[in-house]
Amino acid sequence: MKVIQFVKQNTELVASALALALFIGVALLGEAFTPYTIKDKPGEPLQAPSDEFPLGTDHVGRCNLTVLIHGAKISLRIGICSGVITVLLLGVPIGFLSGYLGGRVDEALMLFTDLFMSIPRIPFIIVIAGLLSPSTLNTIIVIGITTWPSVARMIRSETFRIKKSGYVDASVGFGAGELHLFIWHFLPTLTPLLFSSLLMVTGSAIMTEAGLAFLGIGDPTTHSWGMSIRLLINRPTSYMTKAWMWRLLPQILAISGLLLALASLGNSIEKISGVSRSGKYE
Amino acid sequence: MSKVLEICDLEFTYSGNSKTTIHDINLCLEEGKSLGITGESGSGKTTLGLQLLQLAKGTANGVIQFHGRDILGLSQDELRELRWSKISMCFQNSLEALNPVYSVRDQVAEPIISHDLMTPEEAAERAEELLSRFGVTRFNAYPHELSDGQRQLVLLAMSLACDPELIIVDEPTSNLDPLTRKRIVETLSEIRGGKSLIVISHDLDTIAHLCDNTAVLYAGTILEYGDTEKIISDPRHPYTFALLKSYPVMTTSKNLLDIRGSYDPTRDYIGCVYCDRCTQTVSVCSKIEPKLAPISDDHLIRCHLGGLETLIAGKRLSKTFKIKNGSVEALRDVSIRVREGEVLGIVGETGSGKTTLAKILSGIIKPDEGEVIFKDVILSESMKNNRRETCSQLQYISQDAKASINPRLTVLEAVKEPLIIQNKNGIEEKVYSALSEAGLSTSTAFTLKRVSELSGGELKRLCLARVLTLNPKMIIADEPTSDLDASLQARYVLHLLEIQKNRGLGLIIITHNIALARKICDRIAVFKDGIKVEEGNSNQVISNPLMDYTKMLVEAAPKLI
Repeated sequence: MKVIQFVKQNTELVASALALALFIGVALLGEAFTPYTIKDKPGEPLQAPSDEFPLGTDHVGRCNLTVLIHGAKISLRIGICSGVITVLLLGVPIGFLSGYLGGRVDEALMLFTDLFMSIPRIPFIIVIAGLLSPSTLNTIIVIGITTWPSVARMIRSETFRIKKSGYVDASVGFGAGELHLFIWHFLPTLTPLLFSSLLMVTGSAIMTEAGLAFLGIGDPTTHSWGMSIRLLINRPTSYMTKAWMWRLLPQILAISGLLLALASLGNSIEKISGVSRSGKYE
Repeated sequence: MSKVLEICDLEFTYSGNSKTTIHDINLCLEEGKSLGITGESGSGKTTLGLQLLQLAKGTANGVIQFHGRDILGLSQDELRELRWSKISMCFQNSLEALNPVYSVRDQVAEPIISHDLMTPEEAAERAEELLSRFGVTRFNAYPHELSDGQRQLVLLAMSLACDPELIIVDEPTSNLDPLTRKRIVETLSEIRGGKSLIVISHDLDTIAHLCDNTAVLYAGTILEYGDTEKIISDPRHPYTFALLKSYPVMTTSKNLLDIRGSYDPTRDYIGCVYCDRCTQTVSVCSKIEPKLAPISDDHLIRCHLGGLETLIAGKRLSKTFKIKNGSVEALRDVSIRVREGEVLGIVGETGSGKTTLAKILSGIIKPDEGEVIFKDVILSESMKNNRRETCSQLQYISQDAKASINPRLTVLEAVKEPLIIQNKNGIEEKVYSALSEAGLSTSTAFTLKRVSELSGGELKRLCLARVLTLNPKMIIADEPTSDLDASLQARYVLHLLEIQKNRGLGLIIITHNIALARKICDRIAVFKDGIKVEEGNSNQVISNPLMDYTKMLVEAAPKLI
């Protein structure tokens, strides 16, 4: 009964979490259930969907469904890795230290953050991606270092707000040490924020990767969703046929569905925990 | 001056009793002086009075010297000789003390005749003279024909009949209306002339008017002895302090407070007799009985801790805040002191430095000059060396209750937090007792509520409950009742005072509500622009303000009519 009640009260959370789990499950296990791998070219190029190839084949004769499932793995890997670098390795530590320590440390770290923030993101990504040889790792790094400043800023302002709050003063008045303050007051407020930013950044990284791949700066040897879209669009003849329906649409729907799941999961975490990225408790 | 009476180590046990009724009594009365003996009912006052005349039946040890002659060693004949002529006693219960079948004149004359001092005619004349001096003119009246007050006057006249050197008056004014009481007190002080006087009374007003020195008796022993005026204006023993707080007088506006607990006469006290009602008890109190020891010239108290402790003292505190264009002097040269069980109100308008003072006293901010002494240690040092313990003893309740509790916590967690910080045992129990002490529900439905769901009044009391869990000795409450409605405010304040009575904690209440301060504070300090402009007894400050600023504050206070 409790489960039903929980689902009823948190439909958005449950639905988005299930959707995300589905995407991750497919990415992790999907390839094991398809008869082909990404390297196989079992069919004739550009076939329409059939019993053997539910989404047809591409221009070199690969199974489109296999390509889609493989793309999920690549895109999610890039998204999650960028998210982890951005949020856990850079944004949160820098933001927390800056907000908690304050003073000179805060000034120095925020100057550093502002510096990164002032860089125009897309041109910078293009330049960096162009300079470095295109590879998945480089894409992750590029996305990571351009996204963390906003996370750091948000975590800093939240940390600062907690540090200056009356309840931290009260705890200090009760004799609390830093460990207590961290466990009782900082962690519970910052954790949901950390998760929601992780989800937000993951989504935006997947989107950015797709954009980069589309622009042709991605790693051409991988088959992320963005790269698949690019491959199709680079063959203008595809538009003449109905091939976009099984070659383009599934990738676009997959990207949209994943982003939607990530965004609504992030939102519902914020809503339930009562923390919002605008820094107010509701 | 020669000593009329000297009592050394007097101990007395009623026959058939195993426990001493009075013990360790050391008193001295000089010629022409008066001594008051006060205390709650059952403290042994009357027994002591009776014992001075050897009228109580039992065994006594020690020495009672009257003009150098030990009364305890006297035979019945010698005692009879002594009574009335040298030492007379005016008894407590006026109807029983007088013989119903003799007229009042005959009764007053009786001791004169029985001591062969005068002929019956002369004695009757003397009796009439004495009675008329006390304002009783119906010489032939029988005791039942007179009022309570008149009978008391007759008894007083009787005690003066043989022109004794020492008069012992037992409860001369109890059960009397204030006008009669006033007359008796005035007549007595006028008529006694140069005679030595011992007044036994629980009525502090009578003692204050009649006695030079006062001994405060509790459980058969003296807890405080000294100059009456000093004892009343500046009591040093916790018992005397509590006794004075429970005595209604026109000069305090504060609510009356009884003394917690009660004295159990059947119990054998090993340590201090007052230890389980005292609020500042330490472990030694229940083990060793303290000696009556001087704390200043002619002022003795029986307390291991040297009497009421000064909990917190701020000495010449100054604080200036830097702002954008210059600086603001928030506090200038302020000294303040709060003792055990005392409530100090700090009033003043917004921006007068009240909160700055509170924060300095609670160690949240450091003063630029001066220092804060908390329990005999400099606060900044005890904060450095023993922060956790100091924090649990000294608590500050912020004005903004809503901000001072993490809204994400449940009520239960919020109350637990201080205990977890302090690493205390028996958390659950303490949490629930603090909740009920602060007047909050202890039901699961309430304790599992989130703090963000509580009302303003509940939040205020939750803050109080959090503070109470640590059992602090000193609470500094900043605007404790702001944004509470009148009924909640009354409830909160009564709770606070009740807790103070039970725990004896020192309280500093910071408020702009002078009407409230008047009801709950022993003393009020008025602040303006960071300077303490006035400090004194709360009623005195309000009814007779010295400074114009205080007058303005009083005038601005709510009056309704």
